[in-house]
Amino acid sequence: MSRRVSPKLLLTSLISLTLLCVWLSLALGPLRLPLGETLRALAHLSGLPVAANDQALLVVGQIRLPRTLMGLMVGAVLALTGVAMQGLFRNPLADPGLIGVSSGAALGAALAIVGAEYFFALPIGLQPYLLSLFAFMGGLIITAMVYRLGCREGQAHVATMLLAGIALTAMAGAAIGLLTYLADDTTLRLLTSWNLGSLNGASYARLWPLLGIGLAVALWLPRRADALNTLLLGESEARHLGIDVERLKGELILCTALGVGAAVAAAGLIGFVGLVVPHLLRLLVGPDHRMLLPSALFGGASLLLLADIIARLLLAPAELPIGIVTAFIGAPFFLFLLLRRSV
Amino acid sequence: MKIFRLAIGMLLWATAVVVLSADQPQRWVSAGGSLTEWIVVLGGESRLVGIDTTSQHPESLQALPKIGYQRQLSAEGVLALRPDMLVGSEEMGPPPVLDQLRKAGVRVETLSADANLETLHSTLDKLGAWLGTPEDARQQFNQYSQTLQQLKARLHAAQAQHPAPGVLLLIGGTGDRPLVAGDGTLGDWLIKQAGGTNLATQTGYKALSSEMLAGLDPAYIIIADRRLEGAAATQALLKQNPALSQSQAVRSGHVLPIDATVLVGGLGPRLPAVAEHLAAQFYPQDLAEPVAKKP
Amino acid sequence: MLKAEGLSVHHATGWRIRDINLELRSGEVLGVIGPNGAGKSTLFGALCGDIHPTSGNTFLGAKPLTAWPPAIRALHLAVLPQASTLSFAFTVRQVIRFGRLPHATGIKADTQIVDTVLDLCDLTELSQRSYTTLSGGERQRTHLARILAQLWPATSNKVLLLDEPTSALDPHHQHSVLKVVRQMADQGLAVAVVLHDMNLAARYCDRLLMLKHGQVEGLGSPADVLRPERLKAVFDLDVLIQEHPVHRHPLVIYL
Repeated sequence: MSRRVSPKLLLTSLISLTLLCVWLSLALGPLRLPLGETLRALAHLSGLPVAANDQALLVVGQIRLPRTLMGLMVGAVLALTGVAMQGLFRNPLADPGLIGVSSGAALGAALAIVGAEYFFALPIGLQPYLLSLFAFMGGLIITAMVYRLGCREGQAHVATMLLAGIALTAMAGAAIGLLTYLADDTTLRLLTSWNLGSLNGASYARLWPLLGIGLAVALWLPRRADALNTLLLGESEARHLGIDVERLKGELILCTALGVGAAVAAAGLIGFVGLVVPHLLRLLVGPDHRMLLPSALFGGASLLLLADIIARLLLAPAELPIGIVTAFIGAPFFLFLLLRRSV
Repeated sequence: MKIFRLAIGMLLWATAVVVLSADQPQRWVSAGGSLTEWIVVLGGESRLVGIDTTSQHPESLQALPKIGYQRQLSAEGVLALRPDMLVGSEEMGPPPVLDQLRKAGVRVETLSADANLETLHSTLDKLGAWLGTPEDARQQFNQYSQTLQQLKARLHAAQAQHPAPGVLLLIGGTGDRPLVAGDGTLGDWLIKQAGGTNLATQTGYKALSSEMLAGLDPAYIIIADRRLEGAAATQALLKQNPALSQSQAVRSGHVLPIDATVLVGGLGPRLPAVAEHLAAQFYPQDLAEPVAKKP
Repeated sequence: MLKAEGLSVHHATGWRIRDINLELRSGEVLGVIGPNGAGKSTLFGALCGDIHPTSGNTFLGAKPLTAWPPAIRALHLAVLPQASTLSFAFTVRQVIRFGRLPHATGIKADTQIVDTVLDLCDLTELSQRSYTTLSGGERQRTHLARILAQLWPATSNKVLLLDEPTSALDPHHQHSVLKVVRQMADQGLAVAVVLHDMNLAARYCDRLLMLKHGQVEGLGSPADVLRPERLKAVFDLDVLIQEHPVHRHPLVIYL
């Protein structure tokens, strides 16, 4: 395994990459701001006594900054929970969707989008928040059901959970199909674009809940790196190494449900990051979670920021859904690594 | 003295500019098909700096930057066009983006897209005021409602002789899975203005099975195809929905293609002419093809 | 050190083990033998807490097994399962280091212990190899080394359960591995080991437990348990038993 990158080097490069992406995300946009303006606005926002022009302040402070922070959190959370799920299922091809959180969130979102037109006449200004709330709750409820179905005699059976996840995902899919059928043209369009995710419309109001949950997940999961490592040996092996396996499984599922739920509520469904970032980094640093989790945090954040920059610039002044971009960047890179490694 | 006069002149000019730009936004972004058309009709085409994807008419606008779909506007994308004004329907969004635009000093105006004359009246009043052509706007509205009034009167006479025909209006892309215009839609409004009876009873645009379509047996089918025009649209529709070929409409050649872009947004400027054209088809003996050009 | 009282496990198909009483003492190696399906693995599962017994109890030291907090129990009881699957590319050293997780002895001491068990299990040269590239026998030795690291150093309050630790090993490594186990028992460790090779069992074990249909068929010194008539009844094998010319333990000669 001499081809693995030195962990310290990789982590340092990932952190630098993340910082670079943060800077680019703050500096680039369809509205071209001179470099000096951006810097002055940032200095002003961080409380320094620097005068900045109003428009730069608004664009950097109200549009790009919340959007960047949101991208950071969404990317980090998706990649981290991807690692957690691959550890829980002891399968490098697992992704956060397996325990039903994504399909639950999608169902919640569909209910909110379609239902808003049919059942409850809400002021249109409240609708985005209703959508986030429904997506978050939908993810939690379906995950809780999957977990309950997988539990027998106080033990969570991972294989049963996997199957329960598949069944409930299919059911959620059918329900979404029904709602899609009921939906009219415009609603349908909204639903489709939600399913591809976007950081457009990021605001502080939507950022805070995600930031809270995301930070909690990002701080908690790395603490369980050793336990996750032992879980890869098998549940019984982990138990004999002193791990409270049932508690660990509960924590992993809770972190994933909350984290992915919050990410999806804020930015819609963004596929691919949770599956590929951990997989890709595992090829580079190996499976040790003590390295993998921090790497995934920064790797996921960088990929998402990069994808968002492309999403907002490519069709400017219009925007591309970010899920399309993550797949377009990630998939070829992933294939490249896969082919290179297998030689 | 010369300097004094120059100074006065400049002051006056400056005031005029300030008043003008405060009252009448110079750089417009329009997010709504029919609104964009009205802006063009009222002489505001040169002020448009960006349009959304639903603004597809007239052709001359297509070189303008596109800000995407009206419900998924990007704050920075719109700001990059440096507009003073963003107009669109109530569907325009997402709301956080509109808030950000307002904070950036962009005037955001939402106008109802409901298909009725009162709404159109207030829309035109507002657009006229903002564009500085209130008189023109008033005239346009009067002409619009007059055309429809006259059509109604002639239809009244015609309907004494002939019963109103049963009509379906289908929106589709190359004939596949067409959506049927139901209650509350612009399509429904158009059928009624042209003196037809809408056979579809649901609300909104819905896909009906081809069996249902055939069962309704319309005397006329209006087809608004997004991709095909004229006879090609008719052919595509029949190819994808063979069950329709037994209907009265198809057997007697009463499939009427119209331009799909007239149905985007609220009441657009081209609708009265389309209504007149359709009415002439519904009542061939009583209403000759009107003077207005074919859509 | 480890005591089973009336241990029984019932499954849909019947009793897997029934009413087993057993005491595993510090410093001894107990060999468990029996034909396939005799209940050896079930017994181990019930002894280490992986399987909840239908009735009966297991005690580790003075306390019931279930009363031990997992993290503390891991300091006193280590288990080598029959088969372990690991599809992630950890290095051999990393896998063995997992055995030190329950301890807080510090990186330096841990590294020393890992080096020692690497050497004992003849894995030093493979220490940087990825687990997924190892052969079956190398994998088995890696897990054994992990378990040894977990209980290192061997003292009289620790228990080691090994379910067929030699099944994938060549004869050389079968002996070298069991010698290490024997040494650790001599230092005070209590060991129970499932073996299929009766001559290996006779050579390295102090006592043998013979199981048939989930019940005890014999428990005692190898010479007491390995009788031709008993082997015929339990395994349906015709054998001669002689004394090993060098080591003096019973030698089973298959006819």
